[in-house]
Amino acid sequence: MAAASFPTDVKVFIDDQDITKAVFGTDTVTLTDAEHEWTKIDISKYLKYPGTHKLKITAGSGVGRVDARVKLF
Amino acid sequence: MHDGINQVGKSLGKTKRNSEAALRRYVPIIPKIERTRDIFDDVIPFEMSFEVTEGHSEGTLDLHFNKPPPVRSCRGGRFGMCCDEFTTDIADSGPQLLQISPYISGSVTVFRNDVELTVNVNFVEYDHSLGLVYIAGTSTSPQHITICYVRDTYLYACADEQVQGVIVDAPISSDGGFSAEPRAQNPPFFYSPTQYPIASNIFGLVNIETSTTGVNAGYISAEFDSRYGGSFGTSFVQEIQFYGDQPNIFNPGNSWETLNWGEFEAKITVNNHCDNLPNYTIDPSALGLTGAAQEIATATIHIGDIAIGLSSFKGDRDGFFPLFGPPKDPRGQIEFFNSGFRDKDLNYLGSLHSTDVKFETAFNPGPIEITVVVNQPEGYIKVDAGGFEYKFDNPYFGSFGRNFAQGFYIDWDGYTKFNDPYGFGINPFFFLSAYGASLKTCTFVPDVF
Repeated sequence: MAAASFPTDVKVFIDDQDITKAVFGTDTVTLTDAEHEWTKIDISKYLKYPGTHKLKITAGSGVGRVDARVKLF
Repeated sequence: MHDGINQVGKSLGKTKRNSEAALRRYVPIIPKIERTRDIFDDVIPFEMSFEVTEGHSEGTLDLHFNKPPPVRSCRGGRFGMCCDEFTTDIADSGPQLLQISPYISGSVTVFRNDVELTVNVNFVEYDHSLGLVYIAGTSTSPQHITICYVRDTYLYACADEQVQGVIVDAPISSDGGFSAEPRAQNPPFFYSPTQYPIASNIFGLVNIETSTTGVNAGYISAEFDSRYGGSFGTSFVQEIQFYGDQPNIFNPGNSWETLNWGEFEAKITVNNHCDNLPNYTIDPSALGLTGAAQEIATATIHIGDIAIGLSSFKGDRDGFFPLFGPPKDPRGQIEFFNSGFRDKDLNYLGSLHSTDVKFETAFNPGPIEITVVVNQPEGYIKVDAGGFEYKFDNPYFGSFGRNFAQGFYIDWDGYTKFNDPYGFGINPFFFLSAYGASLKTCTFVPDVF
């Protein structure tokens, strides 16, 4: 059972399933409180690889809700 | 001549501009946005896919983390509270005056359609003594409103999160039932039929029990074995299920011996209503708790919201009695490692020789009992508990009866003693158990995050 605590050790993975199936990048978001403003991560480096990218967020512990928004310009 | 070259130059310049215009990268005026949201935890990650097409040179990933919305359990991010839910009519977007149970002022948290509202802005604690909460209207309907709050002066707890690890055992008879009154082997918990008229327990089951004297017990039991009666209210336990190759469903009052052996998991579910349930006080002194165990046991627990005495535990059997460890404790990991006694198909692997049974814990769980019954003359048990290690060679020569076991107790300070076996049997088996106090204090703080 997961404890009723906010997630910690949150890691953000972005890979590209179409091209290499490899994890392109990993960013770590530190969560220290229950409420968080939007956290912006520059993903421009992935734009040179058109295709389907996969975002994966893992937590070391806890339960949380994430609202993910990908903006492409 | 010069005019001709000039014309060529102009033509080339125009061609260049046209080429540059043709090759100019198209930049969308309106950003392309993909969005998703979900709940994630350490087991299930959050995942989403997004498409990247040519023409984009910039991109950002915006992440907003928040607590999960409340659900119908203590796991909704608000443990220590009751949560009541309301849904308005489909066209009702107006203000709501909702009544819940009387609550402690300042303890109310309101969610509307999974979005937390701001006190004194979107809602007001209208009258705590009457349990009234006023919620301002909104532009959407219907409204699904969840109100979480702390009632009265009591603390609320999820048993699965706040109370774990209290294990009471009882000898078992040849038919698989208990052969004597259930007992707690040692402090921190003791069994008193007068004060704690509980029914039989199974290992790892945590419970809160009624008391005829007004003093409340500190462990939870279900009415497994009707032979011992018990006053455990059926209002608590909705269902006890054993999952495995031979699943069983226990309802309150069912007896233990109807359990079909096998590898199983147990899930104990009690009702999740906040109302009309008594409150129980864990009295550390009555439970014999000392030290850290006492410290963490000082809590008044209302079994109101959903309480799962032991959400799951995995058992193994050795032809007679399941082998399993205590539940995982919220303050530290407790796990049993059984290596070699039985293979995955439950085939008996022989003696304890060259087999370690390792009990690991990250905190002081109080006395640890390990009872060993073997029918082989060799073997040892090694106990490694927080730096204390005990190796026990050659525990006994011969077989023991089913109902009783030779055992030794290891207190946290290393105190060791042996019990004499009560009888002999013919069926080889071994039996391991451990228990420790792991009650966790609830706080009055409605939001523990």
